[in-house]
Amino acid sequence: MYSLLIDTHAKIINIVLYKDGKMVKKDSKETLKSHSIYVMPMIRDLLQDCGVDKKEIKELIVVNGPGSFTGIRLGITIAKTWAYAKKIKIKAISSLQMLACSLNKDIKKVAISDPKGYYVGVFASNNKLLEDYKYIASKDLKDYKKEEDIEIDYNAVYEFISYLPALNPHAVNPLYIKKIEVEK
Amino acid sequence: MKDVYILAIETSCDETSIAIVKNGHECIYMNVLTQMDTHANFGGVVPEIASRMHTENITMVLDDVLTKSHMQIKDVDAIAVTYAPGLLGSLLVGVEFAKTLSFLYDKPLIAVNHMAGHIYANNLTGDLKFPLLALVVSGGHTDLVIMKGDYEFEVIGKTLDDAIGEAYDKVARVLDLKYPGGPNVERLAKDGSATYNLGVPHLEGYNVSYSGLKSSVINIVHNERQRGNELNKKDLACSFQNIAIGQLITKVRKALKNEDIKNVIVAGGVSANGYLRGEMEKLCQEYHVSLSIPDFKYCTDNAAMIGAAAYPLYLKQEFATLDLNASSTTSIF
Repeated sequence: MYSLLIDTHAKIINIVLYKDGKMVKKDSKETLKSHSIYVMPMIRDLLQDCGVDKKEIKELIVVNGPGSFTGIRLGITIAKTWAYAKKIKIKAISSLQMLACSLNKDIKKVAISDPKGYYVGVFASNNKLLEDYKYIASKDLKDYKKEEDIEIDYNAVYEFISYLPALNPHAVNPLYIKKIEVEK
Repeated sequence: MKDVYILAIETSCDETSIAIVKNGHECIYMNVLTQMDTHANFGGVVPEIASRMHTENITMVLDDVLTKSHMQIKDVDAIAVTYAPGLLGSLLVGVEFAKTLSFLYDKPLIAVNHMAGHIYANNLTGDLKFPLLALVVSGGHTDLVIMKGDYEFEVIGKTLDDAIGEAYDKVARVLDLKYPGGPNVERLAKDGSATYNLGVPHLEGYNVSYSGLKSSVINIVHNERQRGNELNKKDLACSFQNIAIGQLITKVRKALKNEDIKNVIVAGGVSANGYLRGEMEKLCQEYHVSLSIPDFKYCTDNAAMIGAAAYPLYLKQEFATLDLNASSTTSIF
């Protein structure tokens, strides 16, 4: 079974193709311009390069944030539309959870940077979330391990995802965490 | 010729709308999910919230359209989407949604300009007859456009500053009227008389201006308040509307006198204004030209008009690719 992971939460877009839970190929692109130009062509080209027809994709994994608001909306819109239209499985994983899955530690404190601060999460060694995600100022970062210092282990990410239930596509929505001006 | 069905998507501002349009003229079914009540709490559209709500709702809107139209995506001939102009974050949701469907079903993708949508909305209730004069009036536009054929736009006049819809909204705010301002100003103006002297702008050619008119209203409100006088809001709204719409009527009259025009159309959100509709009807009767104004449901932002505007592009095979991007400002004029 082929699965596709779509991650658009950061400057680097990552599209990962899995076969039976093992990573086949990853395509990445770092861009300062709009992700919208690149994401769909990247998906199309990755499938083409691997000789996989889009109809063979039976599961979508979308990174639902936190991160760039516009970025995560793109990935989520693609994934929920695809899952709804083609009636295939959809699962969501947070960007912080992916970092936790890629570390081997007793307590995993991970952070994702944003222009004005950090999104942070604290996880147990079994990757269970220990406290609610927070948005903190840069000066409070202290002992969190940052995204740019962690290499994502996509096979470990899939292993974690495989225990999660599939979601109703309509209900797959971004995790924003940070409050916007009118919410304050 | 085979019938052409277009699945059209519009998310440029605060309406999530999807429609299926047949041959550019017949709306088979449309859903318009408005976020107006949410944004009313903030006194205007909050772009970030608009983008969030589009993302939350878009697949549910599609589900409703497919269920009610008894159609499937594989049955349509193309996917059309508004790519500009509008709120960038909102446009992007629709664009990504449309690209995904185009890719999954191998259907041509058609990028439609929102303003072309407002013009082609007239095809949903009639036929565009060229050469025509289009009066495009909305929150972002006030343009007089001559069209000699499909997608041939020649702007002969435009606002030199604010758009008419913008002026209505600002006047609504200074009169303490709730969002959306335009319809509330019009409601108030109905029961008033044009007793305030606001000054009529006199501009060469076909151009119009709203900034001075708006400032006159604001000054009167401030002066009356300072003097402790009670403001007659109905009369002030009426005085404003008479000049705001009057300017347009003067310019359209001039165009009807001087240009070769068979048909006049009114497009954009302000075309829902009853006073404008009435005045345009009188004017067009006087000059014996046909007037078309879309039904109310096709005046405000809606996906059916995007399907209508996509049809000539479908016939010309002007298709977009998966690297289509949204743009907040691109103009077709």
